[in-house]
Amino acid sequence: MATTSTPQPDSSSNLSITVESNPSDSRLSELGIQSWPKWGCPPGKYMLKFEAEETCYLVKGKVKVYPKGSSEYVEFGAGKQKAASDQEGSSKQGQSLGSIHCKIKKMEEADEMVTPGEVLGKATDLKAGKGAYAASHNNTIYASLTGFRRIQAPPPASNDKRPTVEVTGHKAHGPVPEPGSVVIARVTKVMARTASADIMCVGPKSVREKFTGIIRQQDVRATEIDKVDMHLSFRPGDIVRAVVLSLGDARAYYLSTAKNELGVVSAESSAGATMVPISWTEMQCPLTGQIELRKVAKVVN
Amino acid sequence: MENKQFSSPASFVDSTVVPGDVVLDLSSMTSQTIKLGGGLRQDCDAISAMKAGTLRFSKPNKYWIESSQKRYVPCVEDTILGIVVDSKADNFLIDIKGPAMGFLPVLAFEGGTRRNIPKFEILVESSHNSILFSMRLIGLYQLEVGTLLYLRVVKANFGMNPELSCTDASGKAAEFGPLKDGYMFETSTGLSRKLLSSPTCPVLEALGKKLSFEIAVGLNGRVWVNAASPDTIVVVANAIMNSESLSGAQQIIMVDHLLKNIQ
Repeated sequence: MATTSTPQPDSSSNLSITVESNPSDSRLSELGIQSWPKWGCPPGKYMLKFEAEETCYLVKGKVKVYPKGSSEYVEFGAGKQKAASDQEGSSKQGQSLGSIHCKIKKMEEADEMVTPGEVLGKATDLKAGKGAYAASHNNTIYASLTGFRRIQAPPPASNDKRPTVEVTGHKAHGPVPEPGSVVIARVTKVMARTASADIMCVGPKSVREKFTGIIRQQDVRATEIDKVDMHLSFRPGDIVRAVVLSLGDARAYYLSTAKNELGVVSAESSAGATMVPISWTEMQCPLTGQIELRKVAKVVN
Repeated sequence: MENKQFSSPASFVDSTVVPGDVVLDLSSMTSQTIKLGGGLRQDCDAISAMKAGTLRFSKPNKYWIESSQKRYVPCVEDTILGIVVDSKADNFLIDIKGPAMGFLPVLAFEGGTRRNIPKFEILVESSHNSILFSMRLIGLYQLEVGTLLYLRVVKANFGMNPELSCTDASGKAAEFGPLKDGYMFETSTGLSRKLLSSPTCPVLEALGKKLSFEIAVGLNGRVWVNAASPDTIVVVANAIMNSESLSGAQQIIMVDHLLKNIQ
């Protein structure tokens, strides 16, 4: 949030906030506002600490600033500039009455896009949330994912009054299969000893990017694993419920259907109709009456 | 065409059908089991054609559509001619003129195991034969890309690569394996079936009376011919390629004509 700071001689003066309303354009360019970093947050109450004089230009929104320990406040809205000078160690409370966007930039580009490794702020001002981490050696918070930088208000009950910064919004934040999770996948290819499948859902949530899984011959069922015929267990296009065994190799997760409730959940017959399960190895087409062999999942209601 | 649609099945047998023709109506037939072969599909009570060709019937209850194409669809127990394209860890990849490459397991040869190459004393009587046999076995494991093989289809599931073998069902070599020398040419699947039919195809009989040659016919539309001289090979190949659309008598006349030219 640091905009410009001028080192303050150690004075015993109290904190003071000065507001400059509607600065003229020449004043703005004199201050070099274009190059100031931008900061925004949703409505809420924040504790902000200023160690030195700071100037802030409010682009959008309204702010009420209460110096600590005082019930008086200074309120200002967009287009105003606030210079705050402070003593070390004191703090201020600020209450924003609408979303704040500080800085001259287009209004709609409020959140900035960050990439892994970018500095998000200082650990003293902010807490690291999802997609960010604090490096201990220099107390800075860096992003670890790609996405938009968002600030969450600190929960009112906690002692730590720092807002949380997180990086969200990119597809990598969708659910990811973990070993032990139950997934729903669609079989894409059946080969002599393996079947490959596209993972579509992890638990109840659908994934946002493509994951591939492989079901090996020895993981299809629990009994007689040498005699498994992959063609009689799965066909391309079947929807199966499987459990993730491990992260597998670089290309695909290893999946297993070796339990009663795992296996083919829905399949289409060669005539084009959705088949009805008859037993744990057979499904029947309602149009032609033909029975096809699959490793059927036992669906318990 | 409309008034023929639901009449007795005999009216469609041995006549040409095109995809979409309803060739059988199950509601008019009493409870009997019929077996549907290639090219036919069931839509509740109507059996309709999926391929263009001739509807054939064989007693007691088999129906299928016969057609001749350049493309081969793998079927279990077919004997075919394949060309080695690549070799992977467990399999050779074989081109069989079908929608997908065939897989020939490295062990699918007579006496092929990873652990032991047959020892001399166990093999056939004369030591001369046993040397030849073990040398042949080592040689087979290094099939070069481009080798022509006579093979049998073991598994042919839709969507999977067909599995092939160089042995018959009991594990014996039985003429399967690489074909040396000779000349290979491509034909339609219908002609391959005619060449393999019994009684012997007229063109082969007529050629066999005058020339001596050996031939291997693959149901996937490949024929291999070998003879002592190249002239003979060329005459045999041309005669077979010409005989596709000719009747029996015409084939004999055509063969006579060709043989007159070379003698």
